[in-house]
Amino acid sequence: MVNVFTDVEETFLATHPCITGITYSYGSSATLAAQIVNGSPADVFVSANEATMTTAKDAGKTINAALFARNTAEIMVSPASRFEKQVTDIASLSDAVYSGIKVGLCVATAPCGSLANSILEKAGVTRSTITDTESPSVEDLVTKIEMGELDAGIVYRSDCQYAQLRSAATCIEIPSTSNSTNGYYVAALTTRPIVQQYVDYINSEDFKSALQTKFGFLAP
Amino acid sequence: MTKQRISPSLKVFAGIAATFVALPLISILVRTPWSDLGNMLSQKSTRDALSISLQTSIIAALISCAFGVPLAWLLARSSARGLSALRIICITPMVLPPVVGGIALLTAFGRQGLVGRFLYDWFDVSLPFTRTAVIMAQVFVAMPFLVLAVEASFRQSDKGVEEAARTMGASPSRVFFTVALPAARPAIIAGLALAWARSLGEFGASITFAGSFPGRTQTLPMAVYELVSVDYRLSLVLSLVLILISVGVLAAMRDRWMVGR
Repeated sequence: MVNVFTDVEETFLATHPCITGITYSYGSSATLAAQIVNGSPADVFVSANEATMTTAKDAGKTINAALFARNTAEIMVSPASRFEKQVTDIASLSDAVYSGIKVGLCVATAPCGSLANSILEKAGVTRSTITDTESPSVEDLVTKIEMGELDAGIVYRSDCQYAQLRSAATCIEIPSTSNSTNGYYVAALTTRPIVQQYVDYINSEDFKSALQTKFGFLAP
Repeated sequence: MTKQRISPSLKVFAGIAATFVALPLISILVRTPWSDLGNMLSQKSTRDALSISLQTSIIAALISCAFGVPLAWLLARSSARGLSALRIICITPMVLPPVVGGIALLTAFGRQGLVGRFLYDWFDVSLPFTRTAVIMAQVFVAMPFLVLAVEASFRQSDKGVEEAARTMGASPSRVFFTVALPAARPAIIAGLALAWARSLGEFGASITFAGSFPGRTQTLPMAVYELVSVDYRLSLVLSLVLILISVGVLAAMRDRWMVGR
């Protein structure tokens, strides 16, 4: 999401000369939702699944949450990994198949972690048999795979595709029979007009199609 | 000794300072779900995190001591050039944000790191995301506390006794083990306790270098961080455990570093 919103900022600022900057706080949706419930001074909340948006909604913080994109999971393999050619599916991430392979997942409470959980369940693989570390956010996980400190991990398709463009990853599709999707929601937290304009921009068709063509997201 | 009077206005400021520190700690006591305490502490995830924390922090404190005491001795007694630069480097982790320490450890001992790449390519040793990595992160941040405490003690100790031992024919290592080390014992114990407490609380360097996986590398502070957004009550209970241990260490060691009491 970091790359997407860096891009949004430029476009939005270009069309709204009266504002000079947007401040972003990135993190796992669960962490951000907890911060919002506890009074984080944010104007807009973007979450990567419905459950975390509901957390903020139940606390009476959000105004009109809307679904604006979907994503799915892929196996991201590090180009530096000695297992790069060997990883072909979820089962091949196991230590029992390739001894010494280091695999990361998002922590189960983060949307990318619950997505991974549902995939593992469908593939009949136990989380603890493949996982070496649980990252607090997908960004953290992607970085550690890019660095080559982890051999592979289950991340969002959009993140993997973006890294693959820079030759920082090899992406392996997960068959739709075991894959799942997650939805991205945006909601205003305050009633300032500029905030609503920003949310409208996120919900605009222009932005939605850019997400798909430029960043590898799926249609909502 | 007559009792010294303290001016009322200073008392007010002192009171504010003490309240500011004490209040958050007391608040945890107030908010802790005492009725569920036994139940929550006996959960497997809690016991795992506690046992990993105790195991890694004790090992880290002992390693810090085994290598930190000789380093303190060197810093206190050597007259080599560049010693003050060495001292600054050795105690830098004390003031460094721990997460920076974690990144530094990754760049040195990670699979792609300066040293780590050879460990991985030649010996198939991959350090990140292992319990060894947790201990390494703890030693990195905690050892300087011990080094500083012990070095100060070596500096204050009577060089005359060491010299006397030497003129009577004792070897440098004998002087160290039979004269200097016993004299520095209180400082070593205090340093050990500080290093242990610091290791127990380590979070930033460990989560960056060693990651977090329940039952393998997840220590108490990592579990607290993860739980804040999921199970606030359980995170309070784990926080309470950490507070009690910290207060316990300080109380047990109060005579060791409160000079002049």
